[in-house]
Amino acid sequence: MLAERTARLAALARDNFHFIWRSLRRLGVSAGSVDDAAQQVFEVASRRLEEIEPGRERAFLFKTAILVTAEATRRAATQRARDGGDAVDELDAALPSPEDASDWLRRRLLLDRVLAAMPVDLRVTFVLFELEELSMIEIARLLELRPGTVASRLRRAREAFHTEARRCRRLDSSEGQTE
Amino acid sequence: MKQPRRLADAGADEFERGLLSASSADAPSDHAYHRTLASLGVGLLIPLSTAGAAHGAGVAAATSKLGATVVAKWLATGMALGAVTVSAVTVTGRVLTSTPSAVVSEQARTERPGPTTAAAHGAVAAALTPASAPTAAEPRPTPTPVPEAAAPKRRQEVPATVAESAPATTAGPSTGSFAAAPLVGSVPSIKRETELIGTAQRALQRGDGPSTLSALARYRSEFPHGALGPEARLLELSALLRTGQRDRARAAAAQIIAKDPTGQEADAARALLGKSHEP
Repeated sequence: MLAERTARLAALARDNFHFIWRSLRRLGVSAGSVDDAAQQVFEVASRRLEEIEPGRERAFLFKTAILVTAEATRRAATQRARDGGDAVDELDAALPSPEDASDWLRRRLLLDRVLAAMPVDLRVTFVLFELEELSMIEIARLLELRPGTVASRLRRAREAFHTEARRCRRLDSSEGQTE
Repeated sequence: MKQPRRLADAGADEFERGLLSASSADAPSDHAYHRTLASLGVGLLIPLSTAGAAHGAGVAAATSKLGATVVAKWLATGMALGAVTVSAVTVTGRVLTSTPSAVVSEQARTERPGPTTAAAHGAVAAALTPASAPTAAEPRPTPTPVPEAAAPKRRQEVPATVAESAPATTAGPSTGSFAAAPLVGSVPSIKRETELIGTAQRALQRGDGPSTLSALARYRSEFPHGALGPEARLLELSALLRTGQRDRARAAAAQIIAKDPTGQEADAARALLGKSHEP
């Protein structure tokens, strides 16, 4: 029994850790907190393992990740307010080159900002389709949604993405002009 | 169901494609993966590449392609800049990418895998053979489990309030009940922070130690708790060495090492000091 449980947990981590870590990061967990958040997701799964129906592991983990993200972002907001609200979150940045570092880092942070501006249900769909490159069917199954709902959310998420990206670009370029 | 094309392939302009592509390097470190395995009591040394193997090939390919590009660029740039600069910036990149907080790192280093029997190890080994595919696509609806509450035993920085407060309504398929996350950082501060570090990097690249230090002083005054702190500290160490200020360099390195003696930033500081002794 123990062996079976351990094997299942190991398989759970092997098949899903990458996906869950990326999802947490892209859903809004800061780079400095994402390792802890990922561990938290899998620890919850470990405690509830017997309740997870075989074949639904990833769905359970992803929903847990959404909850963990909500908690982490609330905590980060509280911390920022306490610190005066001016600190930028830690960056998850492997710098491409010294010359390109500034541009790359800025784009990654801007992406965080654009995603953070979306309502969570749209952000989840956007991340899964545009960044994780899941199919619409896979997303519908993962989130237990009707395909039409996924399509609708993706459409609205894209509108939100375009809107916020335009806003960021305007801010970005006006910053550049004033310097 | 009709599949729309991805935004990155159609519908996004250059600026938007730039934003989307910036996520390609999102990936956990080996350290994070093994720490989680240890916390689950299945702490076998499974290569992280194995863990990710079952994921979508497109994303994996994009990530590894970017990773290869990054490595190539670093190598090329490193040859031009010299060993000292390369050590600083490369290790800094790793620090920014994969190092969790010092508290977490220390905890992780002291963690041990949970008790597992020989039989369990055998079963785990069997489970780790690359056979099973991701399970996300199972179509049948099931009662959705509600994540439970319990404090992660070895972490202090992530409280367990998520699970404790997890409402039963999470059983539903919708994720729309959560409010939008707060913004990560203001655009002006992002731009300014990266600009200052970029200025310091370019100055060091030119061999201009004083300008490097000047840019870093500006960075510290504007962003005392900036996100690029590790990079700033290592750049400063490089610049001090380059300008012959060995005492100050040693003091700066000592501060870095004291903060987290076994961390990657400390390793980088030692490497820089060591290289400065080389002929």
